[in-house]
Amino acid sequence: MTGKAAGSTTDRAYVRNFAPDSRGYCRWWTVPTDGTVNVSPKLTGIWPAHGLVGTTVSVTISGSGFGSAATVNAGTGITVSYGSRSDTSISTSFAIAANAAGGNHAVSVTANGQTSSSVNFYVQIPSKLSISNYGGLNVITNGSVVDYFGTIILTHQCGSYRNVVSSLLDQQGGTILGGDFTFTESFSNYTTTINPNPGVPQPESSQQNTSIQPLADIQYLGKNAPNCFGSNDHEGFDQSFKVTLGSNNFPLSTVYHIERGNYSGTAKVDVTVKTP
Amino acid sequence: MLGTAKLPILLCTVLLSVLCPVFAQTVPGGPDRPTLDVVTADILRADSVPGGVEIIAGCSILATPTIDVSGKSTDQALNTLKLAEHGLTWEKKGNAYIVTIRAISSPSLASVNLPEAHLTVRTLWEATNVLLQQQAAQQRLAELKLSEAPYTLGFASINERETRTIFLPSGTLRDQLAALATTFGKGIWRLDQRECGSERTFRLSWIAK
Repeated sequence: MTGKAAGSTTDRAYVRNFAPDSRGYCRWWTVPTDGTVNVSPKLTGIWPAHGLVGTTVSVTISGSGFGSAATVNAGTGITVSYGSRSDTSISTSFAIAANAAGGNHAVSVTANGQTSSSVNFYVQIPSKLSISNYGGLNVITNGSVVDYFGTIILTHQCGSYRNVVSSLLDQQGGTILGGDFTFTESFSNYTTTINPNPGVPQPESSQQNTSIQPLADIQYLGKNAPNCFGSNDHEGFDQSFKVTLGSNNFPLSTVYHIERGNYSGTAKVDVTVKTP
Repeated sequence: MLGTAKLPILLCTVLLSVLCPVFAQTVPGGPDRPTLDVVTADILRADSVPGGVEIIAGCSILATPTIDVSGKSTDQALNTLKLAEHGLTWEKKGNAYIVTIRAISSPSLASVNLPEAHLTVRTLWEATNVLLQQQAAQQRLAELKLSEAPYTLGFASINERETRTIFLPSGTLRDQLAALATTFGKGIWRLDQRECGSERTFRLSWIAK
């Protein structure tokens, strides 16, 4: 039997019979029949098949035999709410708790008391960064600092800068596209030749959603022109990161090391991965 | 008993401690005891409110509060700190909380009066740069002999995606920064003005955006 919703108890259903036709040839027929039909829900796809912990993700589940009142079970830590439901597709929202376990969660569909086999939905935990775009070195004597998106951030500057874009990766190294989360960078191991020593900067946080825009940073050392740093004025520090979702913090393993400024007359802005 | 090889090290250490008091004294007190400026910034950040922290300090490191302000509202927490730390004052401008930590009596960079401004900007730093380039701001910087510490421009926020037209009425730099913080959502600025001997620096940063 095909194409019928699970749980149709009074509707007309169809069965395929092997019987002779009017000319006496035996072949398969599809004939209507009344009565209870029990169609097992079959789950064939889930999209997207992953989502960031602590966020709500729109998830479409496809298959057959869902009927109009199927329910979706995504396991502990994921609350499912429903949009449109048809026999072959269910639109849902997965609210992934901030303390949900990372990794695969088995997702299944239940219709008319029957449960489908499961497919995996992967809960992503922010784990590390990877440099995805390492912009060129810009040396300016009375120029503008322009960010990765082309926006002029500072004008009439003397110094050097580089735009660095990072991808946020999950525990398996997959790219995380989503949000909203608070992204905090903090600094340590500060050294400098600049006098007076400005000291280590305070942590800075920004609101991010990597499905809207990538993590774009500017490493800049300079002054308002016509002032410039000296020919051997530079600084170095480590940059560490943390993602906050709700009240849960996810420190990233990645540590970048920054060297920027003038080194014996040569301008340099280097970002290297100290810890992957 | 000191060997002759250790004498230069000892002499260097003594000289550094005498000649470099800023470096020696601006190291935070300890990993477990955040200083007053850090505590106030954390209060604003925890409540996701716009605002700013202004610090006017000398050679000495800022106090490390021992009072627990966790679980209190922003107003309660700031009032608790204000009672405990005499150098701390705070006010609310619109939705923005402005905290001033004053350890010395020098004039404040943030209190310079700026004319009204119409800005068409996309990022907080763009807007901030316009304010700092105002003639009055540059004059105040020259008067106070403040040299700028390096900026940390930081990561672009999703709150900085759209071009905004902002009208800032005439007021102090503090007022206008507060207005920017509110306009961009829940921004928090930090203006650290330090004076120690002949060394005078300021560092303006957006610690939340």
